[in-house]
Amino acid sequence: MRWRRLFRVLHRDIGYLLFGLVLAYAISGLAVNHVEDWNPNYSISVSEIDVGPLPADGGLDAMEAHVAAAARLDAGEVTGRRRPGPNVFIVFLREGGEARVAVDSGRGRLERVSTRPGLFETNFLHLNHLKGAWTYVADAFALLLAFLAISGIVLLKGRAGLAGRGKWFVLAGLLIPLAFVAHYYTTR
Amino acid sequence: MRTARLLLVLLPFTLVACTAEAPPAAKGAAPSDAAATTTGEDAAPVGTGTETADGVVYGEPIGSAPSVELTELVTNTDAYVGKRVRVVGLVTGVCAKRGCWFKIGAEEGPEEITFKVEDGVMVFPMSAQGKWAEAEGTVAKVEYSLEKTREYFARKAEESGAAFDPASVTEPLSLVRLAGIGAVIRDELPAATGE
Repeated sequence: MRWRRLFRVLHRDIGYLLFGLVLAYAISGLAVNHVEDWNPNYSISVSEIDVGPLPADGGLDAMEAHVAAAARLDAGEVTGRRRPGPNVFIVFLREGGEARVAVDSGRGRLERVSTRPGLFETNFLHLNHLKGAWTYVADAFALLLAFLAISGIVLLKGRAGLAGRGKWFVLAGLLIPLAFVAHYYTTR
Repeated sequence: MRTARLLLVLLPFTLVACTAEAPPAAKGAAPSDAAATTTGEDAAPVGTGTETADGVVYGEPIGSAPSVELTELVTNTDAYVGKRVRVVGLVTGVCAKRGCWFKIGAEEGPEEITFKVEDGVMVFPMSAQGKWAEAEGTVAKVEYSLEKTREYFARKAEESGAAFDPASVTEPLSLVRLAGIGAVIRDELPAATGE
């Protein structure tokens, strides 16, 4: 049949086309699926620091300069500072980290943040944080995935096709999520 | 068959054309002169924020709600519950995993509120921490149980390296939350607004 041949060609070439995006979404899917256990976007490292007692005179400017110098923060790395309590001073760092120290002792911790290269960008595409035009690209991707699913099950004829063993695999694939849904509604 | 192949060849170019828009401001880079607006009226709907001359703009345009001092909002929360207000303050913390909230605090003093949005509606980068936010939203009061209050203060004490005695907390805490509508994150405190 001509339609089956057309489906085969389309299935193959769309498969090639979507190779990168399918892999990216799969990797991101794994990453954000376990967001309770790890941070899929940022890597955060924490170390102890001791910058010595902060200067009593000069206000926040002097404290910030003291912490920046003692903790050897790069020029331009500091974005802001805060003193939420009498004995707490925080210096905020450009990528989202901070140096948080006690005013009287200068002891505290330095938290550095960096984005996970590749994964950060993959996640914001996958979760459609870009919105705008990317929404339509993601829509097209979803429709093409649906086409791959449908064309995939009708490609083969005979015993290996949908009418043969294929129907059992399709049925099993449908039953797994349906079982979870049924379990959800019967136990809530 | 040739038509189908032609379509497949053209598709990537269509996708590239569709994606030719401003990159996300996820790194919180300095504002550019590309799109001058003060409250984001011209900003495209980018969840990760849109860079403008005025700062990185998130969500809906802001500026219509009355400006309320952070201290006033924290002190007299009940008077503002359910009302739409605009607050200016330092970004003192950002949701590290989902980017779905940030804290707005005073540069000097314990006052702090949370600006919260639904996951994915706006996504705030961790690099926003330490910058200045002008944020607009509807005020809500979040009441903690005593147990939750102790956990909250224990975490705060751990963060600051201070000792903490749970018995010292005898009353439940209530926190102020803004149901986020829009925000502008700037490198500097705007001269006109003041903290």
